[in-house]
Amino acid sequence: MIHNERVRHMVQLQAFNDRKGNECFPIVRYFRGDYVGLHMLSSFVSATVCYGIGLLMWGICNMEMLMTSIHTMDLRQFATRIVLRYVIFVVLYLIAVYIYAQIKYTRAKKEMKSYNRHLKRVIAGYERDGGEA
Amino acid sequence: MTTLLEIKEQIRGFCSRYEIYLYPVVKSILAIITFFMIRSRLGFMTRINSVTLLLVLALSCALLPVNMIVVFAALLVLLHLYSLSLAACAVCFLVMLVMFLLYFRFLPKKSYYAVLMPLAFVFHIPYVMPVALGLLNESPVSILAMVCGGVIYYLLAGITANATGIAEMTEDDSVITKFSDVLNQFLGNREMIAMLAILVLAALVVWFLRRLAVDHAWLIAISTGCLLQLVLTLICDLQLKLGASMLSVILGVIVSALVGLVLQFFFFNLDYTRTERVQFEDDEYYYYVKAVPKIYVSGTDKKVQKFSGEDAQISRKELAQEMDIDEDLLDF
Repeated sequence: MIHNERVRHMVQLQAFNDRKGNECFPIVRYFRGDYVGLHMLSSFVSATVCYGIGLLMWGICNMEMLMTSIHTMDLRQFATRIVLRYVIFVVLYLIAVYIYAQIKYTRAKKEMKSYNRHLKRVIAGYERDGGEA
Repeated sequence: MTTLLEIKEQIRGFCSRYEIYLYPVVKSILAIITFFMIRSRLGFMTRINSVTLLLVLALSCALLPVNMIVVFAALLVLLHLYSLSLAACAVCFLVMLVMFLLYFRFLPKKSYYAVLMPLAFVFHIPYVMPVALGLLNESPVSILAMVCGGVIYYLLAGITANATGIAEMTEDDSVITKFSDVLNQFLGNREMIAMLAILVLAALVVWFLRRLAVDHAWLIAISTGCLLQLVLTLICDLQLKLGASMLSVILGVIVSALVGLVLQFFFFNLDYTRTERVQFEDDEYYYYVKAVPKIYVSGTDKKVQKFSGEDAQISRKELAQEMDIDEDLLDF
């Protein structure tokens, strides 16, 4: 016998699986701190690589200037400036990633609440019918 | 208006019924336009200019995720640039890598905006993108994908414009000199910076305004966004002497306003004359609710009654009785 109510919940579950499942399930496997931390760690590596690429591009563009003034410039000040800019860039980027990861985790948790509600109703339906399926 | 609403419902019904077929078709069409645009604009490597190859790639995109259009487009661009000059290819690769690491890693779903944006530039309607993005996206983060697309467009436009100079390699030139030339010309592009700033600002304004809880929020957002783009483009053109065609700018803004209105008609068509305001409370809050009904017309179910000769056979006698005439009168 088909239970209309149960079918309705199962359709909702499948619709969630198709639309948001791929996005939400991998997120809620983690604790909030772990998820955000993992994102920030990978973003730190990305930001470092990107800064390196930017530095390389700047270096190539200003190759002549660097070659002519390398002997006269204050190398310590030059290096400090590069490191300072790197720190500012990484910190700003990590703040953005932190906010993004927090929002994404909160949204996924909220979506999963509705999923779990339907799931509980389906399970309750089965239990009510004494495991008939 | 009722006819338009009926057509809208029919289109919605058609799309939802045939979504499974329409989605791959739309992906293929987008891929075909993108790949052939790359072929016509760049086309430096003759080996990958084959129509068959591009069609096979585009048709395979129908079965693959939408992001594969971006991947294939990036590969085609890099191969064409490699054929032109190693330096140009290297600059483009590094720019794409930075974009991927900083942005697309997080929001791969919206990466197709990076393909749509250069296409909008090619068709002289870049102003459509901020309006469409601002209206349709929940989060303004996807605006960054639009910026990435714009950056790629200007990079490629600059390389194409100076293709002859970049391809020529004199004895004094090294790859590094060429690299530096391409990069300097790209970074010093004032038009790119001004244009992207205008588009980002317009997208943010449209996104902000359409979320306001005021009547006709979408209409206000569309008109403000379009006007802002028009005014800022004119100011930038006068200040920076960009040499943009006024007719093209005005037409682009008009098209963007039309696209915005079409989007509003399909996604946010409300009847403000029937707005209802209700107030109620629970243990913790007092609620002031404003409910605006959507304009909706249910599609008419037309029933066609067929009167065919086979089904409607009637005897002479019955016909004469029905018409209340003598049976002999039916003889001609």
